[in-house]
Amino acid sequence: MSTDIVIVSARRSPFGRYLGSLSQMQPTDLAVHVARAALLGCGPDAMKHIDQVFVGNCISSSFETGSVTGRQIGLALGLDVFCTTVDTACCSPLTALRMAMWGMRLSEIGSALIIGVESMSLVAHMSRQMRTGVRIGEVKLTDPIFPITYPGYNPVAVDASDGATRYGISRGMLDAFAMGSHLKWAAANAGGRFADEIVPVPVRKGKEEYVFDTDEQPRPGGSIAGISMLPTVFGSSSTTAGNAPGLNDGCSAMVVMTRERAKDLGLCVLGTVVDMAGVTDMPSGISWIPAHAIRKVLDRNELAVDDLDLIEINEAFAAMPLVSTRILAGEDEDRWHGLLARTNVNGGAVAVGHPVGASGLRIAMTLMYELRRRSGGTGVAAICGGLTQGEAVLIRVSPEDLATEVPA
Amino acid sequence: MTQMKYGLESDLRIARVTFDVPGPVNVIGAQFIAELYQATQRAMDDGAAGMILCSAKKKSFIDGANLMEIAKDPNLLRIRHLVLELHETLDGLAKAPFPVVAVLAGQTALGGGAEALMWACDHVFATHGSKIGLPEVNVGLFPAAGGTETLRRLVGLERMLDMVLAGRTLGAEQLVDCGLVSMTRPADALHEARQWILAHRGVKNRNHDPGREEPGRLDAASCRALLAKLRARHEACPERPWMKALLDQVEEGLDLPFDESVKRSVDRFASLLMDPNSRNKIDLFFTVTGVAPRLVKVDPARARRVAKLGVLGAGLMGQGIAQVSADAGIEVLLFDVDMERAKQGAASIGAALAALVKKGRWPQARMDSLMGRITPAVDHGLLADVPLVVESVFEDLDLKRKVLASVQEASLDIVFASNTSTLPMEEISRGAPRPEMVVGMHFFSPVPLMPLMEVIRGPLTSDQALATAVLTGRAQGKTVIVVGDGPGFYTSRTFGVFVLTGLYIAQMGMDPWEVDRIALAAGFPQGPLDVYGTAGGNVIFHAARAMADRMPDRISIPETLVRLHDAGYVGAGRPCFYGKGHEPDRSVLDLVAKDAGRTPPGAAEAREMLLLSMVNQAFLCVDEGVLADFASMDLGAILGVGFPDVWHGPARYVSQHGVRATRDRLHELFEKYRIPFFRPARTFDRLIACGVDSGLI
Repeated sequence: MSTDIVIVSARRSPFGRYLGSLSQMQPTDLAVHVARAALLGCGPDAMKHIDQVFVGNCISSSFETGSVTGRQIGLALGLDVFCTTVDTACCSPLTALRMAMWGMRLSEIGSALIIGVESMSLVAHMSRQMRTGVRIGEVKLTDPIFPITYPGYNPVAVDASDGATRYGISRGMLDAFAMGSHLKWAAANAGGRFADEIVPVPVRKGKEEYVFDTDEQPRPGGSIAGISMLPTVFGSSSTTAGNAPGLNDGCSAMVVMTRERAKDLGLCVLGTVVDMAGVTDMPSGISWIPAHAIRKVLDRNELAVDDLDLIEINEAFAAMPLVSTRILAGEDEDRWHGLLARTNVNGGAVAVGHPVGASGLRIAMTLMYELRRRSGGTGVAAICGGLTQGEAVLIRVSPEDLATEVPA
Repeated sequence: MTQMKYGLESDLRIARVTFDVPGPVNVIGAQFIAELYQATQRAMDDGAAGMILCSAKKKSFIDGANLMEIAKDPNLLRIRHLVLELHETLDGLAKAPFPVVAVLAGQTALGGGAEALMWACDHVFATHGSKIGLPEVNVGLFPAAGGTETLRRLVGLERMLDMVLAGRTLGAEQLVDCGLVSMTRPADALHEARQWILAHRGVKNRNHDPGREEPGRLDAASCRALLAKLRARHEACPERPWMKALLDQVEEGLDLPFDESVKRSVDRFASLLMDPNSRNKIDLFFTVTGVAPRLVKVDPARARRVAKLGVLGAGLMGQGIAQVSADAGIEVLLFDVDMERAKQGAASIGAALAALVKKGRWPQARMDSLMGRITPAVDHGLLADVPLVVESVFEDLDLKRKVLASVQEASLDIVFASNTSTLPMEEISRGAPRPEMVVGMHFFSPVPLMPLMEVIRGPLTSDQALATAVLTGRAQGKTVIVVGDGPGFYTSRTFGVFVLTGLYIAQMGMDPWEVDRIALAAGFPQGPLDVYGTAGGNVIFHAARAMADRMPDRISIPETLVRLHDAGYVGAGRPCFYGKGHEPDRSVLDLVAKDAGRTPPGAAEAREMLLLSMVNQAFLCVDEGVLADFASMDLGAILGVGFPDVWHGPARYVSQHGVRATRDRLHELFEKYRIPFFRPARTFDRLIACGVDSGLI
């Protein structure tokens, strides 16, 4: 674990609403646009120094051809290096980052481009009847994203609300946290705190042409009372459209390398990837898996929860950050509130949106940029993935990392 | 045109405009105004002999401005423009060279709808059940399409003021004597409208007729005196700028020609819509009309159908409950301990209603059928086939349990609703054969006038009992909120601390009547010490005791309350803070305790204490699970216990002041005064941890 791995560039697109601004852009084009911006951030010769590409993506049927999508993106970028596509559901881009970390620790590679991309608006409906023809009866078109579920298991919305119930988190608290997500996003957006991470995307949608530069889903003008009127979904006890993110389109990209390589190339270092961890639990444990992932990565690095200046836990549902922080805080309510106040400080997926394969990298970079804004420190970003796997990345911004200016 | 239909009757050349705005009722928005203007132009181009305005909606002629459209994008310029366009359109119609007549077929013309009638229409034909009103003040506005001017020209200054200041809606019958309305039968309405037009060709619009005399016109000095008196009453609370705007509009109108006067209303109206308190009132209107009916969801299939209901206790509350139930078509058995008292209760209802009939507010037939449904009774055996019983006996736990036992002896299938204001369902139902049949139906006094019902779900209350209570409450015309069990539930607790805070401030050394004045200026309908007297000191004392015994860390009793109680100084017919003519009764000062070493708070802090004690109590109810949502919080506080409506309710109050600022201020007040109900609720901490400082409702 001696290899020091650093982030030299990290960018994302604004996240689009379902059937919104990014809905007519091919995921390959979106990924190329965002990855180019990330590569530009590491100087004019960056392309030459990328050893491999790792792409996280959950629902490959949004691509015109849903295989080797990573290689498709790599070639479109003009990068003829080995490209790996990873699907660990929402964990995908962080798993991709972890694979790059392995490669660097094993000294097989010295750098990597990580991409997480998802175009949920473009996911095709499926039919298996057409191949053999339909002799009689209806033609069924199933929708892989409604509901997102796995054969033989509960819908995740149900597991999330069961987790909330198990840890004594009321519907009111879920709704309050959801509203908080919108308000925190609004304050961050007004304060220009997404300027470091967002790459504007030129959009052509029907006859409209414009530059898409702000997350599309947040609704800071709403209210807890409004959210609390929404009906529960998919048979869950407390999950609603209001305390969950929407279906979204978006892309995140990050360039990581060994500190040595960055130094050799004279690149600025934004932050350090101290360590990462992946964990699993029974498939219904999706709401608390981020806590387990965080514990694992903290234990391995002999750190405690109180050592964390900031936490990002992906709001796959409002239940995830609430349940996970509650576990991390133990029984102490004040300690829990203290942790929550450091969690998702610029809003989370409930507001920003959750393009499932892109969110993991978004929370990692948003954590890093916020640590830089706060004069450095240590933070962790964690995410849950379908059928209950979890990823956590421990990021540190040291005083020397701060010395570098973020390139515009 | 999408919001109205235009047609020309070929034989008589009378234009007919039928309003049909998409949605449940007709409302005036930008599109409506534009189309009405087009319709007028078209009628002129067609050389129409007259115009008939009518509506395709069942209940609505025009129910005022499209507040949803206005509130969505409140923009000073846009609103000015909208009002000017409306004025121009109504003016064009009024000055059109043909008579304009409206037909109200059992429909309502409210706000801008009523103003359209009074400004642009030469006559109105209305059928039974039609209503006309200017309820603008109820949504924090004032009639800005000439309503005050046109109505004054019809009914005179005094009657006009009575109607607009109270936001009153009248039966169309009541505007017959002034000459605006003729009542007719549904089948004849259109025919009569046509005949009227043919008989009144060339009629001059009354608002533009300089020769027209205002009925009962007062001389200038009397007008000024009347307005000064009304200003003193209605502007005592500066939080309601619409009252001042209304009276300013009326006063200026006295000396100005009609056209000039209505012009003045444009800026006045637009700036009011920018006022946060007016916005709160508009939102409150939507919370009551739009949110409340969807707030509580119960399965009607689970409820017992209530065609007959027993009321136990024929006192003031029992009478009110019997009245609203019978008015909703439910057969009522009104019980008391003996037949004489039961009959007396029924007779009191009759007497109160007879007074309303005499004043013309109620039709005789409504009273007769209502009274026909109330039967005095004594023997609980009669309850055997009654699905629901509401008890309103004296607030005493043992008595309530005894009554419950007696009802469940008559039948175990009866839903037993307690109209207690403080006693938990869990305690009332403990040991009963079927505790799950017990539910709370907390009415507010006076029952026929107070719009709220607080339904209390005890820990054992069944879905059936709950659904029965909720649906019956709705049938009785109440806005229903459902709360959890606990001493004083939500409303009584919150109401209680308001009075207790007032007493605390008085015993800190502030003049008690000053406390009440501060409360009125803050927008409370009554000061806390006035409430003490009118609600009854005994009731307040026992309720406070019941709550303080059960929640000693939350509720404490000021020494003064004990002294007042012990001295029999308890209001309700006996001495209280106010004597004859609402003059302060200074003898009470001997009974007000003196908190040694405490300086009284200043006026601003006293005001804050009154508001924040209620706010905090509401949020403590969220801590305890008594309240589950902020809409119920605001509805209960405004409709039930007189939290100032200008704030929309405690949740909006906190949203507008900031959660953190509210908690910190409560903390300061608690540290300063050590009164337990200022210790901030945990919910504030939770909201802050979630990143929520506003946006509660």
